[in-house]
Amino acid sequence: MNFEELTQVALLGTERQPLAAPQGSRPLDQLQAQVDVNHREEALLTSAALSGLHERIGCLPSLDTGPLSDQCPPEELAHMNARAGSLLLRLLSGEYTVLLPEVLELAAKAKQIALPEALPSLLSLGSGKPELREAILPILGARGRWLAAQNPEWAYVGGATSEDEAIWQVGEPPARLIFLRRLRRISPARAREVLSSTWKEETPEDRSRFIAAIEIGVCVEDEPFLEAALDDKRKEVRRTASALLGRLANSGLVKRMTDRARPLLKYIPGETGSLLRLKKGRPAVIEVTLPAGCDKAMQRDGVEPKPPQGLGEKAWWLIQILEFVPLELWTNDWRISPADLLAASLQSEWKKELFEAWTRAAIRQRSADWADVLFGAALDGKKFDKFEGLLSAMFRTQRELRLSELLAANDAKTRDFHGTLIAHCPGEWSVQFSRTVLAWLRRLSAEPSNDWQLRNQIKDFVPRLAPSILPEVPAGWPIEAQGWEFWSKGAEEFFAVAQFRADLRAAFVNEHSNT
Amino acid sequence: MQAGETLFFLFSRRSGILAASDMSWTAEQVIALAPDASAAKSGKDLSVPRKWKTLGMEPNCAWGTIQGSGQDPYQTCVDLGGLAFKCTCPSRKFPCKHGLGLLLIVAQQPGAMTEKQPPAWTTEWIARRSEKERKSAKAGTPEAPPDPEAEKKAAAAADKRAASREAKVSAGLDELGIWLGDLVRNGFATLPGKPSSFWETPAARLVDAQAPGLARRVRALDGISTTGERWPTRLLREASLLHLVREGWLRITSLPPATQADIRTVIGFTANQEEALEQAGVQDQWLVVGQCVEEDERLKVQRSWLFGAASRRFALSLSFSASPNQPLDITLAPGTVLDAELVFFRGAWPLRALVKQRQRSPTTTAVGLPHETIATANALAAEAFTANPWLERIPFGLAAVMPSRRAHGWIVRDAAGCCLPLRISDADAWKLVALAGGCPMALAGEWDGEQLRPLSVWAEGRFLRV
Repeated sequence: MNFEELTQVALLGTERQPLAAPQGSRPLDQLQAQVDVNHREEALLTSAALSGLHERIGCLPSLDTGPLSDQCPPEELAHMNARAGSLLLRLLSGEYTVLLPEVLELAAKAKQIALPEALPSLLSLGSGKPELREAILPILGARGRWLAAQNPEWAYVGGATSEDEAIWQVGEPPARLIFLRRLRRISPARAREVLSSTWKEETPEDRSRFIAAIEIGVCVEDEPFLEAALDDKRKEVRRTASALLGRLANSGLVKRMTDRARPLLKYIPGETGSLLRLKKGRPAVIEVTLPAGCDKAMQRDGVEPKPPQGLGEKAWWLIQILEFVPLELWTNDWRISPADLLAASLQSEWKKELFEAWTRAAIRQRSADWADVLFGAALDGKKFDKFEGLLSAMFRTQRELRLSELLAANDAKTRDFHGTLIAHCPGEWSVQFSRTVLAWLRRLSAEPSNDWQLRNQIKDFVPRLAPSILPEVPAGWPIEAQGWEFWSKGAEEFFAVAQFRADLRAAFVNEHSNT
Repeated sequence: MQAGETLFFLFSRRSGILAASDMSWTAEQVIALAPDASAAKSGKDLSVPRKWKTLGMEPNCAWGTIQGSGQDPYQTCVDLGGLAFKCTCPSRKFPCKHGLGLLLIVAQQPGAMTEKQPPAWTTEWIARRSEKERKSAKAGTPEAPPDPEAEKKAAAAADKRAASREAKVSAGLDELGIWLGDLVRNGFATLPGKPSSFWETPAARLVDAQAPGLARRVRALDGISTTGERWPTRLLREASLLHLVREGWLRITSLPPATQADIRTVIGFTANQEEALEQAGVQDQWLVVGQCVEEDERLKVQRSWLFGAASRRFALSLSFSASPNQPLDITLAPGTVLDAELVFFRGAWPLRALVKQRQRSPTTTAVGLPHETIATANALAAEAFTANPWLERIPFGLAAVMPSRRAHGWIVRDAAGCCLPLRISDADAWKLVALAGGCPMALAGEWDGEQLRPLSVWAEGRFLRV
């Protein structure tokens, strides 16, 4: 009996299914014929042992005629050295992930590609983190692109390998998106044309993803396309279109918003009191008229009619209109500085709304002067959610100066959120500011604390430090001080990431380390 | 590639396949020595020359000093010939992070090993090690003349112990026979959904009966019955092999000695190392073609597969660790070659071996993989299973195969079109594809009769663990 038949008996059980006496003349049958079938269980197991072994020994490997992958084309770029390769593998396996963007950049700059063993995790990293895709592409090499073509999960790579616009017609959505973004960098007009050519056939999800690519090098020529997109059925598409139009200072949308805004705000200059106090002084004030309604045209331009919780609908409309109005409009119209304007707004009944609106406008319009002024107000009002946006909108020197002053003053009013501020200060930091932050951390870690959040956050500062000061990181810490017991854990992690980052940079600079 | 065509890998720094004594370690090989993941990570963190106060190397050893949390710097050295570590740090891990860090620098930045003259503490240690090796080589001859009376007594006691164990095993096997009978009488169809105690109870009984090898195989049946297609086939195969052990045990004295040894091994009798070491061994250049560690209960088992350049045969070196303080054998780094005399334990298809003596002299011999096509590997497996049906895995060293994905899973295929299904995760399989780059590559792995588990590959002149 062959093994399959015996398995059927075993499945049902010998109680129900007796074992048939073997018939046949093969040597196996003759062996099995010697088994005493009266002891059913033993007979089954013995027959199975004979037959199982017989099959195992006699089986030949299967033949495969399926397709094999083509040979991978040769590399045009050099591989990174073994040291860099092993560091990359560690990053990909989940160590020090904050440094992933940097390793991709270092390799791309050095025109080096990843070793083959790193490619699957590198490609999967891109599948999971779309924001890293474009940074991953340059270090894939021919092997990586060849590999990606074999796994649908890595299809996004397809958009980067081909100069051929056919990918736009036949590719998978992630590949098309990458293709579009790349084309947009090379030729914005052509990218827009390509997108327009298929716009009507795209799914709503794809439309909202693709239109976001117009952000790259957005310019006046894009206006007609974006303006048309304000009538799209998909809300995300409309929002992206209005946001992009908002960045074009002379767009129709900005003009319409400006026309809506002008009648709403009125600046009333202050009056100085007389010396003898016969006449009371009066500070400047901004008078606000709330919008009367939110008509179709406003909604088309991106004004959301329903307010978030805690906000009146008219106040909400006001914020959204002002957000799109170029901030220079006010300073030019009224011939006053942002600081004076902000002071005047504080006299208004709607000061909170004005702060919110101008903060959004300053961040959206990347207006450094306004951001600087508003940052002060945000500090006073402890508007934590605005720190990051405002700091990003400032010039580097400006924000580093601001924060350095704060850290130096060590004022009890702001001390508690210095960590939050540093955490929200975008990189890359100057050498001087990096040293300032290090000095502040060293000071901080001498004192007892229970700020777990900051302790866990310190390591994330490393990628922003100026690379040249990395060797200074481990020195000068108050390891004898009372506070060290608490801070040491965070500081040790900080040192480890800094060391790793230094190693990483060295591995891409120092070619001699490769043997 | 035609059957029998041999693929040779030359040993040079460039090719990445390395002779241990050539000091050309790769980072991967060093990392593989780490006792656990945290030691590996710490070791990697210390593989930065500027963290060390001194670093030096000569052909046989490498040394360095590094400031730790103690007052004096730690002194770390590595014997590169016999691969041994020594460090003055208090860590109980072996090798410690300092040893690993030091060897990583040797592997990756040998230029940083600037000192050329070993300090006294290094030379002393190396000298002590050589002394010890000489002593252990001589240890075969007993020092005092044997006392016939005491020997007789000891032998009688040993016989008694052996007889008592054999009686226990016999009783345990009888019980196993009854349990197996119940299994097939009631039918496998009743098994799905059985609690794990259904399998655990007979396994525990076998442990009590001093048959730990069988206990492990019974415990493994639980896994078979709950997963995978064709599980009844696999369950019956395994059950019939257990039944075969019992049948063999009942008439063990009538069987050839080699098969007796195989049956005793399956049951879980410990192989007699001294007896094995007394035999003449096989002197050869042994390439460590693959290694893996599996955890069974709390016991870590490391399997290292060796292949002899001249003898053209495989050997399996096992190393066990029951606790973090008991290190696994670190001297058999995958991808390295050892010039050594191996002795094989008795068996109908001898595979398990011990390193009897190891040469420290540098070797630069070329060692080829077993140059097998899938067909020749399969023939080898047939020969092995014929001799010893209880073998759980057979080493395959395939010279030129391509990995590929099929609807039912991953395979490797050779030029003749023969293929083997792989036991591999998707992530690892893609790594194989990436390394092959669409060209045939050499691959070593373990064949369990149904699937091949890849352990190492040689692709584009580089050795990598899977």
